[in-house]
Amino acid sequence: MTIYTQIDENKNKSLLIMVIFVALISLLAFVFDKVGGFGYGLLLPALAFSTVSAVGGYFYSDKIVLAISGAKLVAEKNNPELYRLVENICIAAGLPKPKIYTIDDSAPNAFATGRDPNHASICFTTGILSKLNRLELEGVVAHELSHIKNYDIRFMSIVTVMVGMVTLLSDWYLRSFWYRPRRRDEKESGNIGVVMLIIAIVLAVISPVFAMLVQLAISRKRELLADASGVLLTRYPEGLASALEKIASDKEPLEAANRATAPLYIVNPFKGEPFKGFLTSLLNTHPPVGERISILRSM
Amino acid sequence: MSYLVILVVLIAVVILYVLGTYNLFVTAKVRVQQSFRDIDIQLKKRYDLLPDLVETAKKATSLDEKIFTEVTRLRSDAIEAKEAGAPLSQRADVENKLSGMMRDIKVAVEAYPDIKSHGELLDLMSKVSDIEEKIAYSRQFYNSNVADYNTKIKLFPAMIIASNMGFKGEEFFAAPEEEKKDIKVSF
Repeated sequence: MTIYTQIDENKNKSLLIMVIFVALISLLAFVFDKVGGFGYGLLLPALAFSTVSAVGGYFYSDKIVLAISGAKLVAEKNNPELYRLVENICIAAGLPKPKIYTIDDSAPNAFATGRDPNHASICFTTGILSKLNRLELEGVVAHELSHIKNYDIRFMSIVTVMVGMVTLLSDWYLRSFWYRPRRRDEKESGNIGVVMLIIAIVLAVISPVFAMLVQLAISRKRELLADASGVLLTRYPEGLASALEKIASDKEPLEAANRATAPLYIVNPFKGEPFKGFLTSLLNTHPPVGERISILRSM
Repeated sequence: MSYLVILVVLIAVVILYVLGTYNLFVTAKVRVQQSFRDIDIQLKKRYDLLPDLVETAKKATSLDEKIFTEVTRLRSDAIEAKEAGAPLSQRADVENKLSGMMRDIKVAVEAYPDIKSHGELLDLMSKVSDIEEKIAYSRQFYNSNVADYNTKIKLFPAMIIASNMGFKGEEFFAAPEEEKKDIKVSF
């Protein structure tokens, strides 16, 4: 698989996820229309809303992601070393320099976002900047630039925004069921009403789970690929390996991260809460750090 | 009749393939040329910075005069090779020697007592290591583009088109052996 097939794949999948998003929201609205007997009262606004947010998500996913993570733009004069480091690895990758952001959090982590290399941002926590040495930081930057170069950022950012929204909406739907004032004619709507109600609840429960699974299935191979192509830029696997080691062994959780943005980070920001048992392999957003490190060290 | 159709379709397919392959070669070659210009930009910056550095270092330190004359000589050799359109291997050789000298100067200057009081020199040294890094990285990008282009024109059956249309392999910009050590400086 070359970088160009990766890029095409990411562009296609980005479009696909937007279509799925619109379809899923519209389907939910349709079901609730049927249950509540609103005609198309929810479907049409839902269709409009989801289309607008899918397109908006395409153009603004990076800004949304950066805003909910509390990231601040870094001026060149405030951190010339960091600028220089990013700029130089960009030369090696043949990429324009992305915008540089920081999150004020002492937990070490980093991510990249944007829709293409010309509209890309790279974001570091203040913790990663202070805890890693230059070589380790170079490894991390090269990893993130690889995500930018092969358009992982477009797909991941869109997925993050869409999944975040689906989760939010079905939460809201589900809650509206419990707190809805009971109407007199409800009992008379009969079996169909009950069936539709069950479907509605099932959908509302399943959709965030489904959305999570979509997101997880896609991010694990990406991290390994970005590790490998990052090392091609720095020619120094040990830098990234020891960076991953430091990030993973740091016990502090990253407060700015949430379930939707977690897969964007270089190392899973939720520490000390591994998912145990049957679902383990499904619910871990990142490949085990130990595995990544041993692959890097064998290079 | 149907043979004619088949023949026309076959010819069309071959023409499309040749055109597509030709464009692929041109794209790859343009990438090589562009990335070479990127190296040249960094090399030019180094030529511009060197006289300044030599002057300042001479004033601030009592390092061996030989180092400075050697650097100045290498710099003019490098510029000469560039302007004479010397083959890449020759240019790379001079530039690599120059990089080696820069490393020596850096080590010597950093070991110099009360170097901290020479702000101007320190400033120049940090510019130098930035440029050295940029040269290394742009050379790496150039080499990866060359590798990509050379592979494309050597694969069968595209190589038939390449050799008929005069696409020749490009030369790598050789990296000095000690390069990797240089990247291992701490922050």
